[in-house]
Amino acid sequence: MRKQALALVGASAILLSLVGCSGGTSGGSKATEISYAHWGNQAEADTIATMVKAFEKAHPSITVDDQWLQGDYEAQVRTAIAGGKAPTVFQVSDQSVRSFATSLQDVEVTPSAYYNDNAANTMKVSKAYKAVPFVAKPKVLLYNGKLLDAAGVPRPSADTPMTTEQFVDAAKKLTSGSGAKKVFGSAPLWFEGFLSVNKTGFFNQAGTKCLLDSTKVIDTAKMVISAQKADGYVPTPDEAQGQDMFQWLSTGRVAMQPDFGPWDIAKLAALGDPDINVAPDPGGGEPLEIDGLGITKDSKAAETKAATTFINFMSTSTQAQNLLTTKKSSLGVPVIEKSVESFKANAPDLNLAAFVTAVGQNASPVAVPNKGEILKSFWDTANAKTGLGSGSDDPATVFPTLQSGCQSSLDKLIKSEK
Amino acid sequence: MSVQVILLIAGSFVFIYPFLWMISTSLRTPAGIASSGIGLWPVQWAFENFVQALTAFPFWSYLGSTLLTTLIPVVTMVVMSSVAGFAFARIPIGRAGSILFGVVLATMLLPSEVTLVPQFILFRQFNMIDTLYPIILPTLFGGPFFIFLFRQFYLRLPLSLTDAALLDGAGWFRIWFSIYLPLSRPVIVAAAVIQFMSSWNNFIGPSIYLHSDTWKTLPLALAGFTSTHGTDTGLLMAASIVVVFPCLLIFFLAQRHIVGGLSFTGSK
Amino acid sequence: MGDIIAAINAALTAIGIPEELDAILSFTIPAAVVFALFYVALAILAKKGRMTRSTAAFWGFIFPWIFGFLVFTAGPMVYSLGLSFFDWDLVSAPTFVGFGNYVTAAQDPYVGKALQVTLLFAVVSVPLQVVLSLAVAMLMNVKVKGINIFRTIWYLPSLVTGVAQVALFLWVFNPKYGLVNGVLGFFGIDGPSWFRDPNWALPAVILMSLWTVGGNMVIYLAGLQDVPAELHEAAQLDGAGQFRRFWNVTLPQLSPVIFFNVVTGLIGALQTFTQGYIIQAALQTGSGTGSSGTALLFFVLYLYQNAFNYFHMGYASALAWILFVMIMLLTLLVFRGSSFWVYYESARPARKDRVRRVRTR
Repeated sequence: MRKQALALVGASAILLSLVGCSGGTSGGSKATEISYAHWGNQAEADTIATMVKAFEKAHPSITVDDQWLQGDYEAQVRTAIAGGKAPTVFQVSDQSVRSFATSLQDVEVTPSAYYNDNAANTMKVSKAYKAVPFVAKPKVLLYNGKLLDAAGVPRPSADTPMTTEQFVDAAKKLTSGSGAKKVFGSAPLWFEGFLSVNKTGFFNQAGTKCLLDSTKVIDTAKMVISAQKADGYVPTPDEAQGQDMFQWLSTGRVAMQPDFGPWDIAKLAALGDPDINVAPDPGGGEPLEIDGLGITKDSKAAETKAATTFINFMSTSTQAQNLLTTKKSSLGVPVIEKSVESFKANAPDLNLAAFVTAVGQNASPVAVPNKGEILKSFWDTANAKTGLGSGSDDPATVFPTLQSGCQSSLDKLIKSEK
Repeated sequence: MSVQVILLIAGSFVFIYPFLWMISTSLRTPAGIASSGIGLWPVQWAFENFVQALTAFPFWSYLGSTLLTTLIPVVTMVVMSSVAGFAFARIPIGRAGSILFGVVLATMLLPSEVTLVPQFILFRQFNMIDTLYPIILPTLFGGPFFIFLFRQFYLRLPLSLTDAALLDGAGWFRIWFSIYLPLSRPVIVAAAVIQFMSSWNNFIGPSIYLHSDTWKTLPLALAGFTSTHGTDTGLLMAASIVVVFPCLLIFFLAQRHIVGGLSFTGSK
Repeated sequence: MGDIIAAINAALTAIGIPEELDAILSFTIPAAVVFALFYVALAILAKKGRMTRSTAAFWGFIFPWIFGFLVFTAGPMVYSLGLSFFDWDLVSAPTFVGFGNYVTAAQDPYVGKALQVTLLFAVVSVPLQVVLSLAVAMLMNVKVKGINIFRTIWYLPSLVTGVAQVALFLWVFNPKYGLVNGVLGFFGIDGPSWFRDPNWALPAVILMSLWTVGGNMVIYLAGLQDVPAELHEAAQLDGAGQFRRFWNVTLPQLSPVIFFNVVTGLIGALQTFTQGYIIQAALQTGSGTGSSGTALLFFVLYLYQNAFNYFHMGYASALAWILFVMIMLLTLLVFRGSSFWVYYESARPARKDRVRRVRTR
């Protein structure tokens, strides 16, 4: 029996020593260590890694643990916060900053530092800034000029957005062929994206009402459904599943991609094809996403100080902002004026100015608490019953039935926010 | 006889095909996948898929974490279950023993998900979120299925072993350690393999507790891979093979013992 | 309990132990204390003669399991029962809601859907698995040279489990480029969208679960080989054909193994999580219109979402207990039914009559 106890002690000793060996967080070195969590694909993660290195070089007394969270980012951050292991700094989007507001500290933001009011405004939650704007991710229209020329469709203007009708007409004209050789006018239409294009959204401007039964929302749904039918001008969900639309466009299977984001700029520049270029999105443009960096509420004083230095560096210094898009990798459009030129200079042949204009013109959808939870039953039913997913019912009959559920969810969450 | 053989061959081919197709796909480029359809050939020998799979994320760190969460439970589960199984099988205890064993059996039927939320809250109290402890600690004390396996196995060993040792004045621990444990090879191997597979592929635990790269395990990384690199199927297949490979290795090394150890699962 | 942990942590830092070890030590030290107390008590009782050496040894051997059971299973279960009567999001204070969570669950359409999906999956896939693995085991039960190759071939896929298996089958069932629809295309059938189609998502997951029958096949193979040859010979002498032999000799001999596998299979199937989680996540990437909706809303997945996506801890605990009761009921059903078809060689006196009845059928 003594031996058993000894064995148990031995096992725990081994466990302890393993913890000591690996992991290697410094127990008593001079540098303050903060952790920074973010999401993104490979290109975005690489960009952020470069920016973090630039920061550490400029501030040798602070080390940043760069945590690239793959999978469900928000759930992981929430669980980390709930588990008492929140990252010191974490990235939030304009849509989610309101949901995380209770876990974030107030930060100081100077709106005049940014060339666009959108940037700072989206980071405000009931009069307090909860994050500093860090990068803008507008969407633009990517097009394959050769396909347009061949179909007799005029190339889009470099600075004026076309109307939604013009876009749909062009897409229909550009669709030709069938089966494996079919050329599509456009990549799949993102429903929420086109709500913005049509200057509406799931919720009203004040964020107090669901708009599921409004004509504009239903018409957008009908538009998306007819586009992705078997004889439509975008690939069906089956055809598009697991496929890379950027690759399809560059190889001439798709003529336009209205949800092209700045994280693919480096890939686009690497193509080196002057006929593949970008132009402003049709209509009101797809939603403008602004990401910010927030500091967790329960951080210790030393870490908060280091974190503040970090987020200000990332948000307002040209050293960081210039790195947001380089020839090697890209994340988004800078939010400070001084970096705009360096952004455009990455690919002088491409109309990158369209991204910058989009930051000014496109709107961010209103932020509501826990959007995912509110819209969950909407999406489940819409996907099951209408052509947005695998059903065939008319959205005009289905959507109004979902309005009251959405509204009561929204009301409940707004109430519990107080 | 020959109908049986034909069925066997045909069935085996159909059954193994997805496995072979996985290997084929992992060696193809995206262009190759788009044009290859469902055949096993052609293959572009795109070994860069494997290279990328191993370098796109901190593979060795993930491998280390996965090894920790697998090897430690394998050892502790087997040893502790053997100890408990031996006690139930050989130490005369009367009614209390049978009642307790009934509890063990009942525990075997317990879905682990009932303890999901409270264990999270428990480990949060100890500040163990984002570490490997929540995944390893529960396995340090033995598990009902293995206790059952060991007990059944020990019940079949001749009673004379224990009697002779007791007459010689040996203590119970001595008996277990020097006599029964060495004889338990088949069950040890079977239990070790089962626990290895279960721990290696454990997904729900890591998905709740692990977030930062420091402690992530391979299955968790693969899941993240699926969402960030979902469009490159060849890469995805290569990553899947990489994650599954150690299980294949263990199987080939322990083949003979698996069947032997598992044949005690019917109460005869 | 939080205060004890905090006190331990403070003491540890005072001695100068690095912070990273705080977590594990605040667990190990109390645990070690408990163990020490128990073993010392045992030793004293044994020395004083109030307990035989055997009894003390028994409790000493069993104690680790008891400790683990209490700390990680029984304790949490009781706690979760209590928690199910509260509303708690981990950050604010818990509010007492009585049976409110259970009432909500009864009215929650997602709960009904989750139960439906999970039960359907369990009730369909487990029998199919049993039949398939038994059939394959019988095919394999020939002493032909090289039969081991086939056994390996059938066992190999069961090693591809978890996330890797789901990733593979997402590709195999891909509506446009996947294996299944490609083969169906050969026969001129236009395959469905599988995981994307609410009607075909669950069948796809069931088919996926059949791929790992190799594990059970091995067990049945061992069981088949354990059937005493004399029984088969005796039956043959009595003029029984192959089918009668299977039905009256092989099956009853195998029934304990089958029973065991059915029970563990059911319990495992009712706890399905990984498949639902990964497939939903995989279908959501892209233009945001994809998901199988609620077709793969397994009960544990819904529990997970409530606990770790929405942080309704009390509600999730209530769901967990509902799942637990459901599993217990189902298991009880299977156990009750087992006395009719499971045949035990070592019959206890009370069962003798039932056994005799089965044997002479």
